[in-house]
Amino acid sequence: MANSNKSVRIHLAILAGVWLAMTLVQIIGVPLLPEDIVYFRAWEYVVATDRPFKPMAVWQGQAVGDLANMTGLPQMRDSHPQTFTVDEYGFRNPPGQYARNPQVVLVGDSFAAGSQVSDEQTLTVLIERELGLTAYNEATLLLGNFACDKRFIDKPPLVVIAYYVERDLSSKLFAVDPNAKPFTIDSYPSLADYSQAKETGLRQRWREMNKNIVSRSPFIVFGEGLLKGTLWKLGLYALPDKIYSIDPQTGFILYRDGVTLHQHPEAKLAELPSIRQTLVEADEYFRRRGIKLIVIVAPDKETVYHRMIPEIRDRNVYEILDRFTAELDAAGIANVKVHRVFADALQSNPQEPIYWPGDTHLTAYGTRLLFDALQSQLLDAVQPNK
Amino acid sequence: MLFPSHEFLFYFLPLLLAVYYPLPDRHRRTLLTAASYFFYGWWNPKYIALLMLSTVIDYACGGLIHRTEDPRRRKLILSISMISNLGLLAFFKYFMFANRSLAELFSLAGAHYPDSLLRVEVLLPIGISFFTFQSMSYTIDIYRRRVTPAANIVDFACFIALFPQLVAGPIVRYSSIAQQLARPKISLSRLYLGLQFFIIGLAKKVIIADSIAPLVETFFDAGDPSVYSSTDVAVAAVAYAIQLYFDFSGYSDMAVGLGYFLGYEFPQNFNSPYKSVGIGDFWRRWHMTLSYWLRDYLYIPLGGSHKGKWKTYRNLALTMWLGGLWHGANWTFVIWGAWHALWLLIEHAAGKKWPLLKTPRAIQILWTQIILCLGWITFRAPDFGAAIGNYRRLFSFNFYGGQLLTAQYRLPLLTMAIGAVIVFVFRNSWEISEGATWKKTIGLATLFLLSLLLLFGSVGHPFLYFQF
Repeated sequence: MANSNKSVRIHLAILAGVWLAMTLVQIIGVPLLPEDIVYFRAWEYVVATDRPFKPMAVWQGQAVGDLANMTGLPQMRDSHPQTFTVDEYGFRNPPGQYARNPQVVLVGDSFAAGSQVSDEQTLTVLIERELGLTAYNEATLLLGNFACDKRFIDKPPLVVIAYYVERDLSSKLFAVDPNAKPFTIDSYPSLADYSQAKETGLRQRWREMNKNIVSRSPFIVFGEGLLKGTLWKLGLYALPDKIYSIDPQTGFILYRDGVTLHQHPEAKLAELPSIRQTLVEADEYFRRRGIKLIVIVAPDKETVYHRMIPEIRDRNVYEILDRFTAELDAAGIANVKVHRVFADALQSNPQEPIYWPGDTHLTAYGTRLLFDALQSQLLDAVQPNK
Repeated sequence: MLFPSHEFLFYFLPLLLAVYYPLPDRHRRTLLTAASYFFYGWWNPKYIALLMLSTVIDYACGGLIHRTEDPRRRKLILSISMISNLGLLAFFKYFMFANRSLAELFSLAGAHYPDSLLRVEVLLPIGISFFTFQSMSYTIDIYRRRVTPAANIVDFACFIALFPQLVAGPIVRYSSIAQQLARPKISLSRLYLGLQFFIIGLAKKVIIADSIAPLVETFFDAGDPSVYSSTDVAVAAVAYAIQLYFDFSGYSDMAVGLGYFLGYEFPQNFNSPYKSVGIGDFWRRWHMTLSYWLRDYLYIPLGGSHKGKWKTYRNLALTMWLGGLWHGANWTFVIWGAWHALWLLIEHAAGKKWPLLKTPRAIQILWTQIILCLGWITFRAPDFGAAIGNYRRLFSFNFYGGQLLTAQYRLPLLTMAIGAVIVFVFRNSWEISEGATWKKTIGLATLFLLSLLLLFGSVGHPFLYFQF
């Protein structure tokens, strides 16, 4: 190399310095960043290893839609305030809720957990506040797991609502095994903060529950938006596989799985009789335990907003849920035809979004519509002589 | 552990270098061996035992060959080394392929193939094709009296497991590294050179290869292939050619750079292969350490070109066919090897009468590219049926309705074009390695930051050559 040693030293120092600086950003940066910065909603922040959420967590912040996050585009982040409270068992309830002997238990997926709405807008809170019933949110959980939860074997509720989303509709959501071994979900009332956890000898448990906080890099926090935002501006942005489309004006994002479902509905339609049979068996099982079952399947965002999707805009996208609810009616299983409620609401009030533009889940308005459709059946179900 | 990962860039490498530099040479080798085992075990710690087994056998065989004068005994010990290495390779790399092929053969013959055999799953240990070849060259070179055995097992283990080149080459020979193992050369200019190679390699992989990956993956791995036109097949073949070059040569550059960090000089593995003017020329420029390995340890022992015309053809064909099979346990690789063998034989048979030699250099390069891209279609296909489907689509000459020439693939297409310009116009990383200038340093720093941004701001793609 022709350069003098001094010159090489300077050039080497620059390159090694850049590398070292980036290493320091990674090593020192993560603990210094606020915990919330690496998450885009409570769903990611309070996730736990052995239960849906870490016990005694409270998340208050600006939530960003799951679809908006998938795009990596900062301008699509339609953030909105959210409070997400978790009880001592790791479910989305205020602490002590289970001790109030719930009359209604809600099991299901992220829709049931109320992903993207604040505590006071969730279905269980609406049931409590407006119908005066005690309600417990046990999402996310399969119906079969609820059946084995020792807490509700000892103190059965009057009603269990099984609430899932259309694209996941399958027998496994509702399968109940009467011979399955009951399990206990441990309670951790002292995990609210580190000092309490330490005092009660749960230091290790607290660490386990919080280890995800430092699992991501600051590069992804700052880099992804910068990178993808620049590609968007240059017209070089490519949609991720999971995203069907983005409307740059309204920020309305659609999920590919919800579109694919209606492009190829045959498999789902063929599965409906076996799902019905599974639900018949589950319904009989719960009746024997004195629990009434109500089934809700929320339509996908893409089903409700199918007019925006050329491939399925002229299809009968409600066929799956129409046939499913008809099967349930024929079998005498209580259900809510929420897809029809949403279709009517969209027609009468098209300006009010039922789903968040940047998310797959319901807005407070959408949840309210669901509650309105559910309440009469729920009140009927809690009557002891019905 | 991948080179372009948090663990490697920000933890493993800085920590290793911080401990490595202050140590005396002897302890450096021990540390490097331990670090290399750790690096290898990151994927699956169980396979460290395999690496150790191969190391112990070949170290023992090398020592025994060296100490024995009896030719028959020397040959016997060499055979033990060859059988153990090829046995490991055959079992871990080719068992599943042979099993599947036999089952298909039984089924064609209407015979029953044992279900118990069909259920056997053998996972391919990363880098086995590379470290077994390195290990074999050691015992063969001792047998040929070209090198003396390693002074101790740690030195030999260090040579076999040296992490920069352990999993995807370049294939290093003991003869070229024995002196360096004893006294690694670390200097400021070599460190700068190392950074230069590493950053260029990282940028090749992350900025070019990974940006093209979505287009290639969509075409070859997903969706309904019948929707594609001839244009799509041609675009995908060229895209894969560029992706593979930047991916693999990027890895090799990073390995060379890491070698310089640690005081070692690894051989060049790529020399602008897409500027080749024929398939023979291509194999002198592409994956050079494998080409030379096959030449020295397979082609020449078979007789090379000194035993008549037909035997030369046989040796060439066999070498290329086995070279193809080395890349993977699938018929696609066998056929790809045969395709290259065919063109090598044609070039060899035609000699100076080969009509292409009379055309301008640009035509020779273009012709070579066509042969190569036709070969890459088979090389990348999941199975031979899929490759045939792509050839049919390509030669249907339906140039309308290109699915890959849409806005969705604007970035991969643009990157492909940039990659093509770099490949055909620019000098390669070895040709620009001399000197430290401000322009170069600022360019490298920018490439490094951009690579990190792309790397950690998106989903990564594993190196393509790991599967081989």
